[in-house]
Amino acid sequence: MEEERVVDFSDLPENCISHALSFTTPLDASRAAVVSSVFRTASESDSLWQKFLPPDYMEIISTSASPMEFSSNKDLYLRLCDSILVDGGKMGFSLQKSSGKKCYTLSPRELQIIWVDAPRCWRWIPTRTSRFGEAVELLGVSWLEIHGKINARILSPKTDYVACLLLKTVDGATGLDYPPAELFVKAGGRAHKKNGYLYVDGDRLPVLNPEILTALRIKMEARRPIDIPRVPHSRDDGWMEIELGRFFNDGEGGDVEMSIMEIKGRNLKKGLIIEGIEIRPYNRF
Amino acid sequence: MSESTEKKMVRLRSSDGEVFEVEESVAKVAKTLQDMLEEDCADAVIPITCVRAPILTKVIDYCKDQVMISSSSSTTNNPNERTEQERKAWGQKFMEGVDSSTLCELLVASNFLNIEGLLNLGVDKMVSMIQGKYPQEIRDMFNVVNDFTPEEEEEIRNQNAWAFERDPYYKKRSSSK
Repeated sequence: MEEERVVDFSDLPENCISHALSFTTPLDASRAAVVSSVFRTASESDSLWQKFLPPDYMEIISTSASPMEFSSNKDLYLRLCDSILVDGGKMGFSLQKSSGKKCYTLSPRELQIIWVDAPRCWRWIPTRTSRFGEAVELLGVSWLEIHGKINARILSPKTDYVACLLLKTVDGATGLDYPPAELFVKAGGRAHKKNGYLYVDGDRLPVLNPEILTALRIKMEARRPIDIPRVPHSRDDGWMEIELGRFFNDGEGGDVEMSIMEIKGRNLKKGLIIEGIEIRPYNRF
Repeated sequence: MSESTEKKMVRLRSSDGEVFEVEESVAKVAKTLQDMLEEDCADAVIPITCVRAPILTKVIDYCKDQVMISSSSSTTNNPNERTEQERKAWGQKFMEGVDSSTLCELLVASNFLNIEGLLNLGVDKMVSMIQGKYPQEIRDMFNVVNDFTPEEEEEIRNQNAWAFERDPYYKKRSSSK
């Protein structure tokens, strides 16, 4: 009598495993490559990675500043996880590796910066560490006002996003630690406003500023909610970032407006270098 | 008289030799069987060579249910009609308690018999089982043999290094033996 052989995963057509993997994440699919040779072939299929790429990926890479060459869809996916320049070099584009969601960076040339054309106020500086090859340095203004805008249609739908200003400060930066700047994001008719210090001097947290302490004490005594201003954080790429705000992209399109403003203090502000505004998926935990 | 009300029956034989008699409409839920029956190339007993009896039983259960919900769908207020939510709940219940080896056999069977709905249920189940898992967990779960040499595995890990920043199940295998 013929020996009965129980079927196992090696009997499954590879496209069945690949189909199942397409409902997981790029992270799960990449891990599955190590399971066995059947899983590996399934986890590297073009049709699988086509699903992880954004639907308009062809359009995106067609506007890439440098020609994109790739051997497979997985290869292309991984290349797109490293930022590329798109739209005539005006924006940086990348995919969030674990999810495949889109991330954009508006270059400083794409931002509306008040007084940017006044040579005594701002200057463009070639910057090796900038993805755009240049950044813009604040030489001195009392009226700091920066606006950015992106159409939500190009972002991944049904996704939480966070917008961050990418910045650095030079030695001798002044006027940026106090008063705090007003950070603003508006998307889908919902606006969020919050204060943030664009510069924090190592040990001397501006929160300890006597004026702020007084303000905090008054609020605490009145039992009003205390709104602690945001501060910049270090990034892996050598820049700092300060969060402007978060929004949910419902996929309906429309403009996302972002701004940074400090026009109340009327003090001289200088020493800020702007790399752009990054709009990236935000993972809720 | 020729228009018999008696339902036409079809016989299916599992890989382990058990014969199942089902209504033709039930068998036809499987596209592969539908094609065979329509082209009239089905023998008296259709051998389902890669499906064991317990799995074929489950497959037939699924097909019977499909016939039941579609048979009276033309009439309004079909008591068997399901909302999207009920359909989902039914699918979950149907796959409840299905272990990984049964799941594997169900997937092979629904793929061979070309039953899209059942294949989707199986795929959903598989997705829920592999999500967030590391390779060794997947191997253990589905009884998959790691057919890579230690060097090959190391290389594939390196190619996908970003996905393995913390793999608690991985110990570098030595290739000395």
